[in-house]
Amino acid sequence: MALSDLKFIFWFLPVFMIIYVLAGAKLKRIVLPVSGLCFYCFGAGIPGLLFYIGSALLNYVSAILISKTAGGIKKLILILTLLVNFGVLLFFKYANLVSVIIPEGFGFRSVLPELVMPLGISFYTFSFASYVIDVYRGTIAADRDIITYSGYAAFFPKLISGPIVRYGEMQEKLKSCGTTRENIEDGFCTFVIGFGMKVLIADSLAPVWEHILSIGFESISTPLAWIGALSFSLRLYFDFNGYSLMAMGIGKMCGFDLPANFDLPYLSRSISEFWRRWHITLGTWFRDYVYIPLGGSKNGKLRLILSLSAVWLCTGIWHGSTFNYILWGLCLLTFILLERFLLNGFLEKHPAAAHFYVCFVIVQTWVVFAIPDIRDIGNYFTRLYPFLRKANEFVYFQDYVEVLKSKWPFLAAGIFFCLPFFRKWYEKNRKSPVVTVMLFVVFWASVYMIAKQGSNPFMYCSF
Amino acid sequence: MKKHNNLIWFVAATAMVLSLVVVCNDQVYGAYRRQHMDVPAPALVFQAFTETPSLQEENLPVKASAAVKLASNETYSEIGPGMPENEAKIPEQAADSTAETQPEQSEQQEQPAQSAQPEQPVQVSQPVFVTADMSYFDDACFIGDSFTQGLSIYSKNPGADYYYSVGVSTKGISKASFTLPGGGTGKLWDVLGQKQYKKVYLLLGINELGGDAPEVFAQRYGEIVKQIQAVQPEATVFIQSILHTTQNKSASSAFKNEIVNRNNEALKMLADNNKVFYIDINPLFDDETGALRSDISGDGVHLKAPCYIEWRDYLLRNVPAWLVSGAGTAIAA
Repeated sequence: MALSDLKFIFWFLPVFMIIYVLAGAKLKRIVLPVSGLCFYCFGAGIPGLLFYIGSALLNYVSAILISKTAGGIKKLILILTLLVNFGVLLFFKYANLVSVIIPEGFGFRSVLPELVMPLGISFYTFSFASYVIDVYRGTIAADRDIITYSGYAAFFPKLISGPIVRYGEMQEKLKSCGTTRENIEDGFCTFVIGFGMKVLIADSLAPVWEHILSIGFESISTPLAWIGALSFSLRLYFDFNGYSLMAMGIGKMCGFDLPANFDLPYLSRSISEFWRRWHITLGTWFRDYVYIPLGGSKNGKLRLILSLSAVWLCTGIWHGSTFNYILWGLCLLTFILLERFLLNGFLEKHPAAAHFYVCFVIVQTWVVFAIPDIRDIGNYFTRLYPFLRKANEFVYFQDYVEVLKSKWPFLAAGIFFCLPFFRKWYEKNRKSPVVTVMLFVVFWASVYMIAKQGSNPFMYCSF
Repeated sequence: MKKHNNLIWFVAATAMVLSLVVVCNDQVYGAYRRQHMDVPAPALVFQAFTETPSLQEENLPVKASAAVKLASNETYSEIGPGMPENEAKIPEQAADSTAETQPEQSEQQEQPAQSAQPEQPVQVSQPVFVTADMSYFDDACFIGDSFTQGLSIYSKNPGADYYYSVGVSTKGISKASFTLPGGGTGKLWDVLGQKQYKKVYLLLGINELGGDAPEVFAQRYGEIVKQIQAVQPEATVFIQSILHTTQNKSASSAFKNEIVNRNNEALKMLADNNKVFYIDINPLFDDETGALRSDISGDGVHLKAPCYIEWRDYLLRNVPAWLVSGAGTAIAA
């Protein structure tokens, strides 16, 4: 089950909200983890659930132990816990093990077939690791109360696809669970916006890439190659941002302020800035637990390069287990280093060029991200830059026409919603009836699209 | 300044009204519509809320058999002039194709032939297949889904005409918007009679693998073949097999090769080796396990561009002899 499934929206969510709202303060604290475990069970089944509970308990116990010990033992416990956490994660990333259910709601996973592992493990492992490290550092106190800890660990909106939430961000509210009517309204509005982004824009753009896949990268025309890269970039953003907003929205409905994951990233003026606005919770995680501990920018150039390299290598590995992800991480590292040492001055002085540079480079890095086979990446780039290699005899040079004809509204909408205008307007007019009507329409349009495709499970064939 | 915008109340209220409407609609019209296999959109929405939106086979066998019974007065004997004596198969396997006799075939032979043909089907010796050249396609057309679109773009066969609607199924073929030869779109049955073809190559089925029992699917398919023959009386119809998907795709999605095979078996029943042939495309693209080769499919279902040339040439190598010589049909009318 995912946040965009109709079964979730029309059964799980209403039932949960009614129980949550009606429950007294004490009961609310129990409703949270129980609902989370049910939610996870629907998606991952019993084996996945047991595995997850094991991981959560391990970190819970470890944190308590850490807070009770000192010195060498304290450090040892931390190291062991982290080894287990990340060891397990790496194991699943790199071993072709028993396949567990692949989440269906997080659409872009169908593009990453190697992610066959316990549901959400990349997210919850990082979440738990942050908890244990924070306890070690003394930033937070270990939570002795298993109920509030479970409320954090098993909070279902963030369970499967993030955002990666730190314990400190939820701590206060966990103790005194409560929500207001305003929270519920606001949260639901945010939820609907995310829902619309994912279903109306992202899911509509997904078939473009599938179409290109089906033709074969060597046989597409250059315009189609660029349209494909653009579609993928937009689709990835709206899918992930949509989902994050849905999680934030539900969190808000429960009274929690989950951190935002995206901040209009395509408006960035440098790739470094892009990665402070894209998947923000992952970026801050790496900043706080890898980059700064390794020295960051305050210990000389060599340390800087080392820290950045570690971060980007890990970012690549986090995203997937095939080599193209590491290559992707290295590409981004290269640009970030270039900016640090050469380009930043220029970029600051020439914002127009900076915007173009970011979009131009990022769209192409997503191509590396999207294609597991290195040779296929090469093929794709020879189509992006046709002077690199002559087109093969099968290329149909008008292939992009039909794609544009059917998908241009979604491309246009995608580009429009990457710009700041909508957000500014929305913030100003949040309570107006116009917004209510608009969100109402968005909600039902999205439901309709899912129902239509759901009855025909061949979503990727209807293109 | 308004404090809340009440979105959630509006949504909840609409949801309740909608469920009521859908339930009533389903109760009142549902049985009627399901008989005619025309499930209305609201009922689909209702199903989506209550069922897992994947294979609905478990729910359908009851309805399917009901549907088959309703249509039992229409038999396959109306499709061609005689009873299907043998399965139509590619001549390379001519030696073993006679081996498989289906129980349904004997059942059909008991039903009275409705045409003016002699009661005893004329003994047709195995039809002879030859290789033709590209001019063979000058009076041929292709009808189907996204695979037909692939053929139209990548098989470098401009002599033939192509009618395709991406995502179309046997259920929706009458209402779907087809891309027509020469550009433009329209409904298939409105335009198919405008030009006369000698050969019609048909390919449907990949978009309805989760839907109905094979017999129900084949029955709808048979209706379509009949409609084609009604507007194309001189044409020989070639039913192309539904293509397999890759092992990965078959294992991880609704596009399962077991269902493809079952549906193909049902399609073979429609052939009479005279005016209707069944052509198995799969041997061309399969790997040793009977699934689509993964190196020639980017998404596990469709073929990469170069494959369509092979497909075209395969069709050229499997042409009934009389279609090349132009000497009428194999059986004396």
